[in-house]
Order: sequence, then C-alpha cells, then structure tokens
Amino acid sequence: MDIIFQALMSVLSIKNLLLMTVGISAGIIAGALPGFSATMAVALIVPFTFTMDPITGLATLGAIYSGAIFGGCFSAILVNTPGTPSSIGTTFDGFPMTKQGRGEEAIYTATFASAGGGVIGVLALIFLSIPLAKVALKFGPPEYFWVSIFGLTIIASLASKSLLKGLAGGFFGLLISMIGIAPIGGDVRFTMGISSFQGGVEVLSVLIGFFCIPEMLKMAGDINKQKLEDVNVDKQTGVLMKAFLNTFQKPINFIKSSVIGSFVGVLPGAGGNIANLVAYNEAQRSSKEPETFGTGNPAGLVATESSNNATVGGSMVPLLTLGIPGSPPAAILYGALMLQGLKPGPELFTANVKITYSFMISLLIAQILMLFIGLFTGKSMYKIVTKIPDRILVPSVIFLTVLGSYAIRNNVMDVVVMMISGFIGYILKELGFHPGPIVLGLILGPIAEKGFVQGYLMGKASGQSLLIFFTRPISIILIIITIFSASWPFIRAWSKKKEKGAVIN
Amino acid sequence: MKAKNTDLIGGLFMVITALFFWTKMDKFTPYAKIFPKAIIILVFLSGIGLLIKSRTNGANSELFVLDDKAKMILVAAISLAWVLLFKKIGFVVTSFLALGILIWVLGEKKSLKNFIMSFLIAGGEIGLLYYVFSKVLYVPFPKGFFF
Amino acid sequence: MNVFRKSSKLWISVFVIGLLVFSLVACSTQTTEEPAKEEAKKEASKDDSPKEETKKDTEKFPSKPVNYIVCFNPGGESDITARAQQKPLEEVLGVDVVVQYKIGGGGAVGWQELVNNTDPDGYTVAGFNLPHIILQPMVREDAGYKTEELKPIYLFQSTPNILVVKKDSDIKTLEDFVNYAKENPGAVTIAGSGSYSANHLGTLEFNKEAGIQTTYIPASGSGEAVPQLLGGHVTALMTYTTMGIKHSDDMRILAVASEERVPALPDVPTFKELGYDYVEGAFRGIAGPPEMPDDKVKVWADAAAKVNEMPEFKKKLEDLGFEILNIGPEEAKKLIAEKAEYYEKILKELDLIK
Repeated sequence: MDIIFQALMSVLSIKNLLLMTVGISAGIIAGALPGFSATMAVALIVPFTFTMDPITGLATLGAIYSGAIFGGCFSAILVNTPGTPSSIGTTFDGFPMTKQGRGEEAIYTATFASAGGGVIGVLALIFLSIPLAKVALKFGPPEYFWVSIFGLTIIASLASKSLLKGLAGGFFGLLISMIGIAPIGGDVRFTMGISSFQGGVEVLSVLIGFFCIPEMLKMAGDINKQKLEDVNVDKQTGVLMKAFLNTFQKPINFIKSSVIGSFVGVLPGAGGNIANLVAYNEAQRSSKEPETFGTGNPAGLVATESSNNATVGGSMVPLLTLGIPGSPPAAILYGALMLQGLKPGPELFTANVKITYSFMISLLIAQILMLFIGLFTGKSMYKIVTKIPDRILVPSVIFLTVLGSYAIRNNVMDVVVMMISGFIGYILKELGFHPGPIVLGLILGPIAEKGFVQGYLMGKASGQSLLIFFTRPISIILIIITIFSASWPFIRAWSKKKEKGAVIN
Repeated sequence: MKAKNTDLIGGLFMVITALFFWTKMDKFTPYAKIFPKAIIILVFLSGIGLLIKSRTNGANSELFVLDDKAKMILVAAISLAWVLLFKKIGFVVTSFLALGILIWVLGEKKSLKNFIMSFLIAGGEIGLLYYVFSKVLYVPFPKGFFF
Repeated sequence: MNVFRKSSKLWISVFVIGLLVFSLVACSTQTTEEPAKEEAKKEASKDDSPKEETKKDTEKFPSKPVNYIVCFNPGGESDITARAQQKPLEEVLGVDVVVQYKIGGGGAVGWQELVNNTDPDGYTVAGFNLPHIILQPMVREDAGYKTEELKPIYLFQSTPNILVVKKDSDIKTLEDFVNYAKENPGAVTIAGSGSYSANHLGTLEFNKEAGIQTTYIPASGSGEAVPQLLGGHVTALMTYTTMGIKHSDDMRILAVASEERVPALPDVPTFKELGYDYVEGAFRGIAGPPEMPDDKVKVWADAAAKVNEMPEFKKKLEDLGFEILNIGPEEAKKLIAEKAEYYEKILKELDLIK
C-alpha cells in the first residue's frame, strides 16, 4: 500500500497533470478522426517522451492511449463512423440515439461508461496482473481459433433481420480478410495483380467505408428534408443525470462489460475491436428486451464503451508482467519502455517498482481526467455537428474519411478501397445485409486462420492431428461457451413460445 | 419503384463472389489453401441458401428509398472521381475542387454567391486539415501534377 | 444550464489550445538546438509550398526535412532502430528527420512504393531488411519490386538468429536439443517470425545441418512468437538476439547463429563453436529509390556511419542485442548479390522454388 501512495505522489505534479490533460485531448481528437487510430497517436508522441523522465513520459503515453480509445465514440455516435475499430458497436445504438435527438445523452453515457470501464481495467491491472497473465499464456493457437469461432456466433445478434444474410455477410468478411500475404506459407493471395494489396485490405478503411459512406449518401439523397435534430436539440434537460443513470443504475451490464474488456485486452492479438462486440452481444443476450438493441438503447452503448476502455488496462497486463504487448498501442509503449532503459517483465516489479506503479496510477488518473474532459466537451461536439447544415456536413465528413483512410498507412489504395467498400456496403445494406457481421468476419479472419493452421501444425507434430482442438482444457471451455452462444437465439425462441403457450392455456 | 427480391440479388452476389475467388486459388501452397477453400465453400453455400429462400419465402423490399436519388448518385460519382484522381492530380487541388463542388451541388440555391461561399468553405477546411495532417502529424500527401 | 454552456465553450477553446500546444511541442522539441530554424518554420507554415520548392535547387543537401520510411510495425526491430537513429541523424544532417510508416506484406508494400512511386531527390529513404528483399521477389509471383531495384545506402545493424527454449525446460544445451529432436522426429516444434524470414530459413538450414526434423510454426512477427514459447505451446523459438535479451528472465538461449559471439550475450556459444556450420540472421539498413544520385547516397551513408560511431547510440543498440555493422553502399550491393545467390541455392535445395 505504501508503494501505491508513493506512486500517487510522484504522479500528482502540475507538469504531469498538464501533460496528461493535453495527451488526453490530443488522443480524443485522434480517436474521433476516422482513420487516425490509437496506435498512430501513441507512435507519434513516443519520440517526444524520450526527453522526459520515465514517469512523465509513460503517463503522457498512457493518457493518449486512453483518450484515443474514448475519442472513437464521438464520431461513432454523431456520424455513424467508428473512429477506431474499438467503437464499432457504439454506432449500433449511438447513432440511432443521435437521430432521435438524444445525441448529447449518448455522448455523456459513453463518457461515464468509458471512464468507469477504464477504471475497472486499471484496477484489474494493479491487483490481478500476475494471475491474468498466467491465464493469457495458456491461450495457444487452438484457443485463439475457438475464440474467433465464438466471436462469429455474435453474428446471430448483429443480424437481427435475417440470420442467413448475417452468416453470408460474415463469411464474405472472412473471405475479404484473406486478401494479402498468407500468414502461414507466405503466399500472395487474391491481390488481383495490385501489389499494394500484399499488405491486405485495411480493416479500418473498410470499416469507415461500410459505416460512414452509406449514411452520407443517404443524407445527400434526403438533403431537402428538414433536420430532425433542429426540433428538439435544446429542449432536453437533465441529460447528465439520465446518462449517469444509464450507466450505473443497472451496474451488472456495466461491470460485466468492463470485465469482458479487461480480459480480452489481456489476450495478445485481441483488443477493443473484439471486446466491444463481445460485450454488446452479451448485453443484448442477457437483456430482457433484446429487440430494442440497435434502435437507440443506451445499454448497448454502455456495454461497448465500458469494455473498450477496459482493454487499455488489460493490454498492459502481459506487457508489464511478461514483456508481451497485449495490443498494438501497447507494443509501441514497449518500444518506449525499452528506449527509456526499462525492461518489461519481472524487473519492473522489483528494481523499478516505483515507476511501474506510478504508470498504473497515472492510467487511473487519466480516466478521471477523461471523464471531466468528456463531460465538458460533449455538448459542444454534439452541437457543432448538429448545427452544421447537411450540405456542408456531408462533403466535410466525406473529406475526413478520405483523409483518414489515407493516413492509416499512407496508402492511396486504402482510400480507393474505402470508397468502393462504401458503395458495396450501401448496396448490401439496402439488400438487408448488416455491416456488422461483414466487419466482424474481417477482424476475426486472420485470428481464425492463424489459430487453425498453427494449431493443425502443432497437432500434426504431436501426433494428435485435429484432435488438438478438442482436448485442451481451455479449448473445451471455449467450445461450450461457443455452443451456448450459438444456440441462445433458439433457446430464447423456444422459451418464449412456451411462455406464450402457458398464457394461452 | 417496384419492390425487389433482396434474397435473390444477395444470393447471386455471394455465389458470383465465391466463384470468382475460387478461380484465383490455383497456385497456393497447402497450408495457405486450407482456410480460403473452406471459406469460399461457406460463402457459396450461404449464397445458394439465399437463392433457395428467394424461391420459397423471399424477402421483398424497395431499394434506395430517397427523396432525390440523382443527388445521391452525383455525390457518389464525385467522391469516386476524387479518390481515383488525387494521386495523379495532387491531393490538395483535387480535394479543393471535389469538396467545393460537393458543397455547391448540395446547396439549395445555385447562385454565384453560393458558389463562391462553397469554395471558400472548402478552402478553409482544406487549409486547416492539411496543416494539421501534414505539418503536425507528418502524413505525406501525394502531390501529383499540381499539388 | 447556461453556465454549463459557457464553460463548454471555454473547454472547446482549451481543447483547441491543447492541440496548438501539442503541435508546438511537436515542432519545438525537434528544433530545440536551433531556435532560428523554428522562426523559419513558422514563416514557412504560412505559405509553405513555394518556399520549399525554391529551396530544392540550392547546393546544400539536405536543406529541408528528410523522410525515413519504416516498413514494419512500430515497436519492432526496424522501428526501434529508426527511432534511436532519428535524433543523432538530425544532428549530423542538420535537418529534421521524419519517421513515417508504410506497413504491410512483410515490408513489400513500402518497398514497392519506394521503387515505383518515390521521387529520387534523396529526401526519402526507407529501411530495408535482408533476407526479405531477396526472398520476396524470389518466392512471390509479383512482389512489386525487384531486389536490385532498391538502391542500398548503408547496412547498419544485424540481429543473428538464436535458438531458445523456456528457462524451466529440461533442454539445457544445444546437444540436448539435437538429441531430443533425434529421439522424437517431427515432434519438436519451433516457432519463429513469418514464412520466408531469416527465422524460417534458419530453422530449415539448421535442420539440414544437424540432421534433424522439426516442425516450423510461423507467427506474424518476432514478438507474436514469444507467448507461444512462454505458454508452452512450442518446444523452442528460432528468433533474433534482441528477443533473447528482452526476455532473458524467461528464456534460455542455446546458441547464436553468428560468426563470433555477440557482445550483449558473452556467455552464449555460437553454433559454429558447437560444430554446426550455421550462420543466419536479419540485416537492416536504409535504401533509396533506384534513380537516387550517388552523391546523395554518399551524404546518407556518411551520416549513418557517423551515427554508428556515436558511443551512446552504439551502446544503446548493443545493449538491446543488435550487432552494429558498417557496410557502405558498394559493399552492401555486393553483399546483397552474394546473399541472393546463396539463398537461391538454399531454396532450390529445400525444394521451395523451382
């Protein structure tokens, strides 16, 4: 306890707090710009932290990371564009809320959920890092394969209208994820002779295209209709209280999502992009009124935003305990630690224990600062976006998507992919294919393939071939969860029928 | 406009995509082939499933219900031209033209005043964002023929 | 609510100021040594384009910021080197060095861009890796570039392969490992970074040299392979010296595939010492577009050589497990040609290409 107090004292200096505030603000801006991800924001600032002392440098980087994951919710809620893959699920209920004129409430709800989730993630980091890291190491290729298959069962809840279309969309996403270099074998696959496709189709640009472009084209087609928001934008009162209650009145959803986020964050190779969808799925599954999800139910927002910010703390667990980064931004923090002369791993908890705990505490303080910044800027962000007339908003957002999808990898092809997938996404959406499953397939594809082929190679080497996928304890647990999750819609339908039957009788 | 059978169109889309990718798969090494092969088959099957459903219990809905379809298509066309041309012509010039034209096209009145205003707004936005992205964030934009 | 609205306006301005401060920090930390340059920069930012154009024709090179493209993920070996070089290079060249990323396809996306779409004015160079730039064009139908199209400037470091097992493993020495592999043919799994990487070929070369059969499991990047070892999912790792040093608490390094022992690992024997003629690893350097003029190549090469001599830089890299190399443009070209021949032979022997 003494060490935590010492750490607290060393973090609480004017300089640190100021740099962290700037870091969070910069992170939020980066996160809110579609295409500018948390990874890039952190990478950009790393060189400037070399000249700072380790605590200040790490606190600043942690603040940017937290801010960027949080910032993704603004564009998701206001213009249906996930600023980072961690806020895909935020669009499902956040944007409908904006359409209903409840955008401000949505932003505040996301802010409370994000800060709360972030705190739970950091608490997990401080108190549970050693056991969590041990469990994470037990996840080998077969387990990652099952994690991805479990992830695919989410399709059932994302594709509300037609399960068949959801599945088709999910498979289509998996297929698109195969473009590029094969993870095992190194073959060049499906690049259609375009050599920059060797890097694969960038998930972020497809994401921006699928979610944002159709919405913008629709707005362009309906440009002459009056804006809904004008009617009741100023009439809401007590939104702050409402948002607070949205998040904390039913704490089970919030806590469960944060725990999911913390754990998914710990797994190297899986981060906020998966956590937010898993949490959304779970919130919807356990909800008494699942049909309201996707139409502006704040509970969905709470689930996604608390889980994605919880991954921040979670992803630091394997980094600090084992030197294995739990997410791409954590990998960059790793580089920063190394160049500071700090070696991630057990040494951080012995020789450099003060720096380590200061870093953890600073992450905690970052969540609190983030809460205030979010609450103070939320209204203005909402107002700015709703006050801009559509005829300027639509071209400007398209401009941002072009800028953003280029900035991801400085690759012109990514922009073309973004626009084309935007058109395809619009057509598919009109045909009843929800973009969620397609994007889910795109994210899970590489994890599933690597897990399967690596596991197969391992199985072949140990002489048990494909059996390896069914014999390991964690695999078996994951299989059970997968079966449960896949059959849940049927279970629910059956129990509903029974209930109805009971009433009639 | 008449309602279309979306299952039929969606199913055809999936089947054609699967067949197209299947033809591109000839030379892969064994381990790189397992997964794509499985996925292509699944895409194909789900497409067939949709086609069957379209014959028995197809979902029908009217596509692209919009106030002003011409405007939507125009915006899509300009956007497409934008992303295809900016590498050749230069990012700043292309964006200025595309953004200005888009704002003008979407405006209610096509007066000269609106025309000038549109390009002023476009210029301001590009100036600000170009500065932030290229000078602060070090994103190198393609210069092309002009800028 | 009115108060709140006012304060939110205030916060927006704080926000904007924050961004400005952030950008100023970004500019000023890079130019702390020369305040005059910052002035010039401020002026330039008002109307930047024409000034930079006219500057181009002046005698001195370089006279504006230069771009250093990293073709691999941030946090990896290439990126760590570039970040460590950034400041010293700025000192030597006298201009800002801007590190940019062009990631994908195991480096191929960045290299094909360098070869096909980069102005050869000397203001843009990219990090490159051996054996990647040799193997990719060899095994891929269209990698987008050819090995000889990259104009090598300097090779400044290498990371020899090492063979590691978990610290608590029963395998204590390389001999134990070889014996274990002979007793259990095919059952020993070795994870490493990617397909057709130095790790992959290294594993195959060592298999041949030691007369053993192991299963190679490619991971995406050297970092991703580490949890597979620590979690006990594979028997061993074929990885780079840097990884062995990062995780020295959890790993036992059996041998290093270099000609001589590596300074950061004085106690680890080389494969050669133990009787296996196996030397393999990744080399890293910078290269320019094919048409880059020789005088500009020389400026870069001299700068890289000077940075390599800086004691602080050298120590930092060596402590991380890198081997410092000093291979200039001509020798680098020769080395690449030699290695290309060697790898072609190996790939043919292993039946990986026809």
